[in-house]
Amino acid sequence: MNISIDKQEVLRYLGHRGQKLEPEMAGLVDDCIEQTLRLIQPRWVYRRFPLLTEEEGLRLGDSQVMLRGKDIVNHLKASRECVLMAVTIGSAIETEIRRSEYTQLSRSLILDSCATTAVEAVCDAVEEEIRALAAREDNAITWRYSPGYGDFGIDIQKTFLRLLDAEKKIGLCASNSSILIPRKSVTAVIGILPPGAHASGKRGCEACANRERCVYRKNGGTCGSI
Amino acid sequence: MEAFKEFIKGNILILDGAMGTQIQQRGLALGQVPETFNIERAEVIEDIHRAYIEAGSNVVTANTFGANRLKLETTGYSVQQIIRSGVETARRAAGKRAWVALDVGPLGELLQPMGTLTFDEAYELFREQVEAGEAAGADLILIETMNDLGELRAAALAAKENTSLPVFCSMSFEPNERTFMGCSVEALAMSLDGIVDAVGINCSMGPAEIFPIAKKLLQWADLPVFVQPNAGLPEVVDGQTVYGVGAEEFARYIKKFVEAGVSIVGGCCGTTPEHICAVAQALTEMKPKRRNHTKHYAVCTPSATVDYSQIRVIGERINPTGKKLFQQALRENDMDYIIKQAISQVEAGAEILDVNVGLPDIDEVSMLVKVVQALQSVVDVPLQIDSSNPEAIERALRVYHGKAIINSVNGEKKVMDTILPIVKKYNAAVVALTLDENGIPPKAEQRFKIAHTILTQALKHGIRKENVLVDCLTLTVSAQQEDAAQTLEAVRLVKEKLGLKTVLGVSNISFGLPRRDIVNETFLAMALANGLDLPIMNPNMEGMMQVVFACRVLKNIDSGSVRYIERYADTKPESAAAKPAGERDLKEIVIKGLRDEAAAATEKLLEEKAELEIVNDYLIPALDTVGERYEKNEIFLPQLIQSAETVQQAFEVLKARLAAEKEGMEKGTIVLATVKGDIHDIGKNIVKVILENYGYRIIDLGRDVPVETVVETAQKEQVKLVGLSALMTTTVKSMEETIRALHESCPETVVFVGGAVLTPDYAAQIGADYYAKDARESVEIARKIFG
Repeated sequence: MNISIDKQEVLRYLGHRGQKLEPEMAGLVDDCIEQTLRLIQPRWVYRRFPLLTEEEGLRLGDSQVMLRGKDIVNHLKASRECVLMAVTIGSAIETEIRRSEYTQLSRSLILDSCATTAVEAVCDAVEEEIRALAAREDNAITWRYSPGYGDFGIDIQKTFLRLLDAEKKIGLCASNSSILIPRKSVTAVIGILPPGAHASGKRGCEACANRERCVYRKNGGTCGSI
Repeated sequence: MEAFKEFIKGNILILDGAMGTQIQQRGLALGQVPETFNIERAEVIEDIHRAYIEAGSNVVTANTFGANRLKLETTGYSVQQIIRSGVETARRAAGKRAWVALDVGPLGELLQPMGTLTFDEAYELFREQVEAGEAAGADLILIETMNDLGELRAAALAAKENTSLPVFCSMSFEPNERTFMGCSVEALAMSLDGIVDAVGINCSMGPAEIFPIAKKLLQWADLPVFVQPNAGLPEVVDGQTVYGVGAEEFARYIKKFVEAGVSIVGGCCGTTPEHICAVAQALTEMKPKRRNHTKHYAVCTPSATVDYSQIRVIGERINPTGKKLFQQALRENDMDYIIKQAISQVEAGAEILDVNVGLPDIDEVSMLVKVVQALQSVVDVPLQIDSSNPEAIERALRVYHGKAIINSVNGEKKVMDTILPIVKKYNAAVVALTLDENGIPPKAEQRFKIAHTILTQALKHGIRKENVLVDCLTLTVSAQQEDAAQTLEAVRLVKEKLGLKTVLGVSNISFGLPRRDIVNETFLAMALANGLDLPIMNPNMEGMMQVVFACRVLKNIDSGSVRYIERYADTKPESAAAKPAGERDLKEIVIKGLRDEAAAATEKLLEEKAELEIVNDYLIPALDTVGERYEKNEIFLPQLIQSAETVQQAFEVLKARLAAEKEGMEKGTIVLATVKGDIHDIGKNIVKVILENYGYRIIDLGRDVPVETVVETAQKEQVKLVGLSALMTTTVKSMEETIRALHESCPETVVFVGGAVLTPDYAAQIGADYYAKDARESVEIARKIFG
């Protein structure tokens, strides 16, 4: 997988809003992007599940797992199948972010944004792969919806990882507080849309339960997942 | 057990194949915990075991891979129930035809520093499993599919210390020959050699891919080596994972492994009773190959191996002796200071770090553990545990991930009797000081004799010769001038006659003399010429490093002078490379965030101004300007941080001057913590730097901090202000608990909070006194509280 890190995206995560970028700062960001690309180890796993509508929510195939919450149900309402995906860029970049906290905090902060951009880029690539697979059957896909969006709770992380055998396959775990570890990782659900169906649920801040608290919105931007 | 141990000495042991993929084929629902089958569908498990035994397995592995408290949490079954049923089912199938292994996989949550589990928590979870396994009648313990060396060591120690069963340990490697967590094969071998009964590789790849990694493991491990490959690389066909290597092909590969020296074999994902049957047939008549012991002079972290068969630099600066700031850092639990010392030594070229935290008024045992854990989370070099307290040494070795050096043992019988068993138990290397009950002998021959005595004892304890490093002891040349020659002679004797590697702390030689660097560098060069392998020195003294790099060239270690050229090609002699005097004003330097210029400019200002004047007339106004520009969006966060770091550089200079009367600069003490369960601490670290800039003393409790720790610290230090951060909705709950506990126990203490998911309303709702939207606002809050 060929991953590139978009500098504008990195700057956006850093809260950059058109301020003058001194050459030293621009150079530091470039340097961090390069280092991040050297350190990341993109790994991913995904799996397709039929969706069964039940009273409490959507059941994933013949598993015992239910997707609960009105936002995820709404997101998948036109889908009879979905793809569960998990992506990580590994632990080496995290170690470097931690190390640089002690030597140069500004660098650590920039590396952190580079890593966030990188994991999103890997997700985009995986999403494209899934889109292509769906297209073979003339299906389309919804955008990816992650635990933590809307009222879709993150306490489902461990279950997702188990369904995907993600610990064995890509070395991804979740902590007791449902934080993915390595930290720069994502899980998401993508709905498969049969021909003619339309994705419901607007992808935008309006659909997000965190909209009132969002730091990016506070600064007039977005988190990038819209 | 004896029968089993005898068997593996003279025979190839055949383990079984996959359990997981077999149960899936027989009706395990997706997302269902496989171990529940032990109770709910035991007949299915028994059938699988039986099929493997009939195929030729000498060992069946109970269905207990994930039978730990964390993974069983949602099942309603206890660890004991699942393990008992699992082992008993295996036993029913096996009868007397095969041994039964308790299977132990990863916990599913990661240990610190990457995750949140502590070593002790992990150890307890594993202890529960292995005790249940032994009670249920397991014959051995198979710890497998591990990624993290720390977790594997916790499991191995729990198994060895709480049962009498043989313990086999394996990890899963990727094509880059590392585990997901970056652990190398060498580290697996070195960290478990002598601790467990066999080491191996399982899962993740097929036999062809694992073969080169197994060969490396055979070179590095003295223990029996085992492999359990998958049936090829997994491929997804129509949504199902399939494995392409058939039984006959698998068996042909396994035969190659045995020919190379592997003596215990089996299969992992995708392998079936047919695979095992083919393996058993292919190996008929084969016996374990005799392996030669390869000498390795090395220590390691999970991902870095340092080979000390050549000159290596041990950094000496993690040591409080004679260092006021370091002592203060220890007393104040200031890990940042110690970590920075470590990083700067590594950046200067240290390849191993000596770690000494002994001070009369601190608890060395807990401090050494804490410092070792902090260091290994940040720097990737092996550590040398330097203490005279055996308990501190052992506790530190337990939590250290890898193979360390113990500094030190000496020729005193009592010391040898206590330290050498620890060296053996943890497969550490050890520094042997050439002194005994009678002190340091003056003559080289006498020191040589002590080295010889210690070596003899070490060998008796089963310690390998390669792991004994001799320190012939440096005395101060201004006090005992005739002694330097004796030290050098002793180094030569030990090296030549005993064939041991040598260590020497070189810096003491010059004590009491002017221009100590001149004497130190000369002595270092002489010692290296006499055969010194591991100088313990200050790598931040560039002159010392120059001697090391030059010696590596002159002794034909640095082949083609590559490393020397790399380091010195574009440099000039010190006198010619005088630092340009700072022209810029300190205020401007801070505003522009030019951190490299701050120290020089501060030194220059100190020639005419007092420390506090510099703080109040330069640093604070500059910071205010930067803060305003940030508020107005004229600069963005990284620039604000750069300015803050620049101020830090200036403060370092001022602090060094004011070490004694530091209080004069401090405006108040603030405790900061990222709450329990949360590990996102970058926001808290930014707040910390900015508050420090404004002269507040920060007690940084780190991340994932238990409620009690925050309360205890607030009480003990009687702080007026506590700052808490949380990034996740899930962890705001523990923020709320922390605030409640603080308000109950320290009603006078004010709490401010921050973090991505918080709002002013939300903060008020969970009981916080203040909400800080960013680091700037935390300064305003601090100003209000401290005036």
